[in-house]
Amino acid sequence: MNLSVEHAERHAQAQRVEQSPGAFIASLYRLHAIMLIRIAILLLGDQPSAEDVVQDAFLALQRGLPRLRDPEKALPYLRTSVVNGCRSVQRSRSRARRRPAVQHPPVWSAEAEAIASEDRRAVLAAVAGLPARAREILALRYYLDLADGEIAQTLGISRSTVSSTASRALVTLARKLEEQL
Amino acid sequence: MNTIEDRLRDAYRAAAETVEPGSIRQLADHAFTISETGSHSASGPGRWPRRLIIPMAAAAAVAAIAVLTTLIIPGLILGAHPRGGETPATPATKFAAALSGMPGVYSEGAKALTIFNAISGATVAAIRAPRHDTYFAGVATGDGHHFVAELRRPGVCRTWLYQFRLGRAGRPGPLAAYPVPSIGDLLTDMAISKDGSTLAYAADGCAPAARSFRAHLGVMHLAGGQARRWTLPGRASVTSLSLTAHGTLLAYDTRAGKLARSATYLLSTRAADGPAARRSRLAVACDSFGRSAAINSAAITPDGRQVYFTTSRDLPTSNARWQLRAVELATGRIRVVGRYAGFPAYLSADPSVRYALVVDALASASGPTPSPTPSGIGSPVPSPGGTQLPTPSAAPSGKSHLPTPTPTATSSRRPTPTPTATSSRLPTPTPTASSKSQLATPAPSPTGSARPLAARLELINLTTGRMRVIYPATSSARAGTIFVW
Repeated sequence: MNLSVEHAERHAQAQRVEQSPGAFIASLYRLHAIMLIRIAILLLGDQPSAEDVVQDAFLALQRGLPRLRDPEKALPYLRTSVVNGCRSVQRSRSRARRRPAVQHPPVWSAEAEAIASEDRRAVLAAVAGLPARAREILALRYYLDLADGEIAQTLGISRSTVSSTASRALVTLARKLEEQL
Repeated sequence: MNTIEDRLRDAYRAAAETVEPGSIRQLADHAFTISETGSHSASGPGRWPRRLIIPMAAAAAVAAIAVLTTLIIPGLILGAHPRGGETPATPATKFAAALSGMPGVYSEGAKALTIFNAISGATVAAIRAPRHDTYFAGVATGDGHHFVAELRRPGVCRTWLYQFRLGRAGRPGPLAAYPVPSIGDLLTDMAISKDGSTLAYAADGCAPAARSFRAHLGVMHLAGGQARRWTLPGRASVTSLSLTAHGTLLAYDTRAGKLARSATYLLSTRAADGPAARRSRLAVACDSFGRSAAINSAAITPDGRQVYFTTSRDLPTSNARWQLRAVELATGRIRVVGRYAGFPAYLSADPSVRYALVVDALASASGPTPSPTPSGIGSPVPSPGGTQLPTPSAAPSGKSHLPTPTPTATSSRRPTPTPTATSSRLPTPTPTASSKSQLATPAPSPTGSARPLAARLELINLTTGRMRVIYPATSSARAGTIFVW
């Protein structure tokens, strides 16, 4: 795509946003909801909570739409919103620890019976034991294949923090999984 | 697949693919207009400078506490949303139906059904009663698309059944006669299986003066034309009905009374005719939740594995609390899904039993009372046509689906209420009362002596317990309004 075509497409997209914000969000949802729910499920473990977080992210986007000048930024905004939403859910879960809160077993648990391979379950269970930021970075890097710069932008941290955290997380994971083997 | 990175990618892919594209909840038509408290406030483009976050958050918290009990925010939000805009081309959404259009003369019942978006609260369409001398007394759906409506005529002990379908945008098709055109009873509740093959109902007899008066349950299997009927003990009355996906199992719960306790029972829809008590098995009784606890309403999951039910101990006072619980039928294990403020007048689960609409009654002398339960708080949203769904009743209509039931000696749920000063006064439900009809008369009192009930409509995620207010509290609740997916 050359620059003039790209510019024209962006302009057309911006016009579409202004003319029909609902249709713009609907098309975003159609295209990206599944990916966002999947990233949320990697962070939260269960689909209902993941769907809640993603729906909230789209609602937040709708509220902020008048301030969104570049439609290209909608998806990064949604990614950030989903990661933040997952963090909020995790926080509320930890607050509810004293109560008999109802939680679905994470998809990587044997109880959920969602993943057949034991090795995959072991990997995901090991990931679940990592600090929250490390889990976010790993999911964005190894599921969404985002570059460190994009991850840094999504999480609001520096690129060096991303790479160092990821390195440490991989070492920890390798050690954990070795121990299991 | 040697390196840890490869294993990680593979595991992530496997976990992510447990979410099927067809299984995700779709964004509703008007979901974009829901106002949220921002429990998941996003940071990203337009992020505020860090130095402003703490003072602004403190100010926002104070402001939120101050105004959430008023209608200021909903009003502002209403003004912020475009009115009369075209409906965005979004995927199918979930729609619910409510009885509406009831004037002051209650004996005329509901002259219309309102179809509304259960997520945003926006009104989508209204269906008028087919004849001027008929009124709607109830509505039910099994799959969220095909609805069956009960119609009655004043003074006639018969219920006529009509059906209609909702299109993708929630637009209803024409009213047409149901395969079972009429039933010689006044139905107090009705349920349809998800596959549409089975219709279950609870009914009061038509001869209230006679000693033979008995409430009963009935089931009709539409494919084979078989009908079953089970009598209920004494004057026990059913407060809610639900069916499994294929209509094989009926869950019903009874209001506490002389010969019945507040409990949820299961009944095979193939069981032989006879006394319901002998054919049913107990799923859960209120006894385990305290002496004055009651089960208000219940819904069985399509697979028949669980029953969700609401319990409460308190009257709808300002500090009343209620619980949403689930019982696993195989093990009998009961868990608490969520705890909330208010009084759960009625729980209406969606066809998948993943969400439920709950009319939550709160005693309030001066307006809405916010629930301490966290989660987004919605506000009324203008419909494309600018009309609003009628305010949910504090007395959602329980089983009785009847406008303002008159508590006579023979039947407390006959549809012959009169809008007198006494009948419009707030009833005084007992702590064990679990019926919607007990709450169903908070109509404005001419004398003004009754303390008004506020009611609000809430949407609850049954798996997480998360609650969102669809309609905030109002003290001018209308009687007899019901909500059904």
